[in-house]
Amino acid sequence: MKRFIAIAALALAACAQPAPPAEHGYGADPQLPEPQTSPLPTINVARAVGWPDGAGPVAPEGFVVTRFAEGLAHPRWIYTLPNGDVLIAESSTLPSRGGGLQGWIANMMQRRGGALAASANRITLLRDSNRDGQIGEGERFVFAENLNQPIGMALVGEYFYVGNTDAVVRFPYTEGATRLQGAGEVVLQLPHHEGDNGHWTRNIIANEAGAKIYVAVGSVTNIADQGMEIEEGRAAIWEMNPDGSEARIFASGLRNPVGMGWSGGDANALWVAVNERDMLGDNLVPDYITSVQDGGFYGWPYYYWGNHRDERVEIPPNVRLREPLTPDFALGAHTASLGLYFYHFDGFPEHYWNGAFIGQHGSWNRSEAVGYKVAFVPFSNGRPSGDAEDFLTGFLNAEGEAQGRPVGVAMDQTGALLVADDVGDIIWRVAYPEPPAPN
Amino acid sequence: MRILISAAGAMALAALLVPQAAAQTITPALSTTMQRVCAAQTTTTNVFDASGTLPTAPSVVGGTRSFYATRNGEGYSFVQGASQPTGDIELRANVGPTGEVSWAEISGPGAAPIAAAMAPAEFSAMAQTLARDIPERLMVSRTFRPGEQLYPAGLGEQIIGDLTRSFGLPFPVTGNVDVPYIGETTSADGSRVWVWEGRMAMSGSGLVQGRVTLGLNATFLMRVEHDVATALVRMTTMDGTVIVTANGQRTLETRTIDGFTCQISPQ
Repeated sequence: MKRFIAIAALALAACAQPAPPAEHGYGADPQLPEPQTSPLPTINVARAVGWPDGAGPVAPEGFVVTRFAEGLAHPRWIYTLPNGDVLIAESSTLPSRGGGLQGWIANMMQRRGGALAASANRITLLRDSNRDGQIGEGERFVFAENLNQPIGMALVGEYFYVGNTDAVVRFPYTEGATRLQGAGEVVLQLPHHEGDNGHWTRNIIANEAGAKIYVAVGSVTNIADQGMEIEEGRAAIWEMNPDGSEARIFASGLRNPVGMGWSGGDANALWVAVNERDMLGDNLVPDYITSVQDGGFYGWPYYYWGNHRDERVEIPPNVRLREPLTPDFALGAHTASLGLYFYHFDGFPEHYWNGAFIGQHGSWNRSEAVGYKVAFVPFSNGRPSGDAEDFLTGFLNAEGEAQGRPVGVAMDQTGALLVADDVGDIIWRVAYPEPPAPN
Repeated sequence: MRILISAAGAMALAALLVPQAAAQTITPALSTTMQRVCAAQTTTTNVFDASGTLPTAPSVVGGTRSFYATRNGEGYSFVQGASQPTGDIELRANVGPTGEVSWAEISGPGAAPIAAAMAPAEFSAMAQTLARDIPERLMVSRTFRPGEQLYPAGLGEQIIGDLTRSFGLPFPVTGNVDVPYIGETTSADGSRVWVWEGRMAMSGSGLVQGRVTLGLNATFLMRVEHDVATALVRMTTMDGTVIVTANGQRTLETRTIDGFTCQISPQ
């Protein structure tokens, strides 16, 4: 009997809308079609199947893709310590409680997509002692555990900071340590909605001087569906001192800001990858990366992509909004652009120097799957200087099933790119071998 | 009237199957020394999708199912396991001498996300409902004559109601279960089995978020065979369609064939 009901429930969750024409919104001036609203969300999440033995994603010619580490538990985020140790935040989406039809559908689809699981709540340290580009026996350590959906990691001075879903905590750190000691000190309590915390990742990054720390906090809901009260302090980037003092909202109206990085160059600025809203059609609203202005308002939930009004969200008569800023670079609607890493190194061909790698986790609210890849945007002097390109692809197989889903991106001690794959439970390593010596 | 007709049809089919044995009343005796281990497979095909996209091949998901019972006072302890791509799930239950469930618990990696999505009381209630739905429990302290229902009066409908609430369907669903005992026959491997066969249906609709009336209709043919010697399940299949509508328009239709075949061996 339970099989009978489960089958019926899955069918109900799989109902979908007709597909509009596939047009992508990329770059500084993306195409923005008319919104298409519907009471039912379009649903098409690639079923998670994992990688066959020996298979892997595909990088441009000349690059070599290998498995840096395997057998992790939903690896979502990567951080490389100055001594070359690689830290992996193992954390996953928890099912929402309540949330009506959309919450129910989201749970069903995330289960299908492999995104939903008991969260390991752990950070694992990978030490490639022999620098062979592969984590072997005795090179893996539990760095921290009993955390709360950790994502953000940053070493600032003598402290290691962790972005839990409900708080930023810090631990004393000494170089070479393979495990953090103690329960950690809470330096900043973050907005948290019990039962269904919505966009739960909390990435963190420090400025170069280590004097300020920035925390990305996503919204609870798609478009403030449950009112703005529970969105207080969310859809924003917070700034604080390393001890948690002088915490303030640095920028707002950013629906789900996740990846952050410093672009470098003459126009060095904090950049963020933002996961935009759903249920306005296949080609709205594009996710984006943007430089972040102090005090900037980026529109959510009332506006998207500058001053395009989202008519689904009423502006209360007593609220006067600032003019929303237009983001810098669109990355396609529903691509789930989460990871962001600026490649300030010369281990890849010059084309890639200082450019941005973006981990696109992949769509669920689009009739044809998009994302499911690592994209690259070339930069020059801290600004985008070309079109977005595919860098690492092949996460979907020929049947459209997800063998993997890329999220966090970072660089290892050799200059290779590392990519967290939270369906394959693998850290991929993309290296560019030395060119052969001339004769 | 429908039940009478169904029962009559079942009687006729039973007569065709095994005219000698079918006339007898059976009294299943559940083994507490043997177990079943089953290979399971679910094949789903999208027959219609309003998006215009159809998968190139049916989705096939495999797994294993297992069950054994041990004595627990006058009653039984049940352990039912499922291994599947989303993780293993184990259902343990204590069942009294007349089949009533006194305690049930779900555990395993596959159950963790479900537990996290529910309040503890809801999760516990779902375990109780699932335990009531264990096929072997339906054999405890029961007798069957051809035409008599596998699910006692109202139980099937009650389980459908409880489970659809547990699964979080966003509107009430009513069900109808008509799976009578057919008779005894010999399975492909030569073992004697009792056969129940019939139809399960459920339907419901409701205004969702005040904007759309979502409807669900599911009809499945079900067959289950229990081993005569042990009362354990030998084989079960379900074959049917699910139709989802939005504001009266068909949005999705899928056909699903789900079943498992079991080997019986000592515990």
